[in-house]
Amino acid sequence: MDLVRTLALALLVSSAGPALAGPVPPPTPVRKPVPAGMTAEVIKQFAQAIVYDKAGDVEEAARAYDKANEAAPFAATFYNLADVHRRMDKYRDAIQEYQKYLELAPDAPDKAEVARIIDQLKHADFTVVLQGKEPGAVVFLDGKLLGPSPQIVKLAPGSVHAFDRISPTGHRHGHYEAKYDQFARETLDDWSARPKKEGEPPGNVVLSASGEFGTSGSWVDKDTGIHFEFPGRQFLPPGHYSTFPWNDNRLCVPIAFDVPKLPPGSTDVLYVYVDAKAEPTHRTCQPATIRTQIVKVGPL
Amino acid sequence: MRTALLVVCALAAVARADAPVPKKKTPDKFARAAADAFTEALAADEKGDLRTALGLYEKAQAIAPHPSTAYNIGDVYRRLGKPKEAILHFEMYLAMLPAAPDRAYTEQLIDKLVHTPGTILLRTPPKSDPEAVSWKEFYILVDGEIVAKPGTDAKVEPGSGNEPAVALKVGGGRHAIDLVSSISYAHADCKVDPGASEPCHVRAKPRVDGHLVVRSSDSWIDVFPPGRKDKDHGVSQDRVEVPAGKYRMPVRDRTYECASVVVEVPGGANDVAYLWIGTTEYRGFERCRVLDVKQQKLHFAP
Repeated sequence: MDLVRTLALALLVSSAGPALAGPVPPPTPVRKPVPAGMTAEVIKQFAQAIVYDKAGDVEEAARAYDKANEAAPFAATFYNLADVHRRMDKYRDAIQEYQKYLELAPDAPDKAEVARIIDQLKHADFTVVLQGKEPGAVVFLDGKLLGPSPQIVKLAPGSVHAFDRISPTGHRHGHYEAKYDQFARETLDDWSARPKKEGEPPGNVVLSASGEFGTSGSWVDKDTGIHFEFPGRQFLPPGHYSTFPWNDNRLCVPIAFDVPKLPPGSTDVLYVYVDAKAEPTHRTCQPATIRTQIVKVGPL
Repeated sequence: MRTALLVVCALAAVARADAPVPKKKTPDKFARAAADAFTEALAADEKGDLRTALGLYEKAQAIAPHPSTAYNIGDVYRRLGKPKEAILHFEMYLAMLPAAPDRAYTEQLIDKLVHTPGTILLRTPPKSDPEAVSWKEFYILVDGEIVAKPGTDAKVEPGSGNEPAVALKVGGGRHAIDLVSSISYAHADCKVDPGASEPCHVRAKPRVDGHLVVRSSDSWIDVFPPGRKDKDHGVSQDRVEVPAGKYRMPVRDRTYECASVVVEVPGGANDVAYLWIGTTEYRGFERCRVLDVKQQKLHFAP
């Protein structure tokens, strides 16, 4: 819960009207030619920008277009600058420059296409980097293993997600609601709230839950006396486990799983994911699916 | 090609004459002045007086820009052996005339010019300076690739005056140069334009210990050999001592985690592991940039 964003930055999702959500145009350059009426000096900056852009130096390309615009603003220059900023992932700048293009060239034959690009940029999927400090970790998104850390994911605006990062030494869980930052990072360093004792193994079982379930804490199972951390990583001897979180009716099904017997020295971890579609209430239990898998974490 | 361009322009004018548009007025004073300068430039160009031709073409371009003029300026620069300026003007031509009939040819020409190698002339201070490089003792690496093994010596090169230099043929742009000997390490970033020759000065501390050299293309990329966990203690362009063994080393690009690299550090007294991590991506991406990782094992004779 501590990773849920609270900062309202709805700049990119605030526009009204029908939206074209989804991926932005592919990162290939689309450039306008030199328009009529440009002086030789401005043409030189314009062409220099193209040279920089083709050489892969997008920062210098943007600077050269800026210089051209300072000398004499042209719709084509704003279009090309927007195109560079789009490929630099600077969507806010790109949107403003595409809008400036439409303002300077209201009768442009491609105005519908440019309006479409603006809409796509405004409603583009969110990009989130899932990362952490400890090497050799793996990353999960909504209970599914993505692969070794770091991972970059695209998330639909408005969606809610759960992340897990399991390292050889620990685990970190986080929630994310894709409505605040177009580009974000979740730094999932090993959980520091419950430091392990000296020499204590990091644990062979990770309990996790969907972003929608959104409840965390710990409980002692009333039948077995076992202490469960949720979400968390802990050591449990091989065997069958079945427990209701907080010993009450928040879930309609118990969290049930089998801890296998692993060979000595194994760094494998049993990942248990509670897939529920809503937060529990005191009145009704939440239906859920419990998914488990063995995960390889760790050494070279 | 210049003749061809003039023909193309004439044909374009004929095609336009078919369209129902108002008759063209007499060329204005700027177009006339530019045409005069262009004609004069063409004559100088035909005579082989490239400097005069260049000045007149540039005068014509400044008065009234035209794609043919931009093209001819590029062509003069090409023949003067100035690929960078030629590239700029050929690009200008294409940007001014996007439907140019010789677009494919011009793009090929630009590509050839872009890939014209430049020469970096590595120089070092005289031996009176304790940090002068004894070339014969060093491996020389460019962007993580070995280009010279110990035994290479500097000599007087074209363009280096009377000063001995080690000449490195490279593509145009900025390059990371590393010098590694059995007891020292030095690095430099050297820039050269296509077809140009640029000196690059290097000095090496007399002694730099370690069995691992880490070289990042920019200092924002850090590698964490064993025992270095804090960001401030990452290694980006240095030689460090690491016990022999195989390690997974975390890599960080600014504050972003990157895929870690597995490096085998040799145990022999005469071997050094070299790790190159480079990127050509822009530094503003909010993620670890795409990294090019290369490893070399550098062996020195006992």
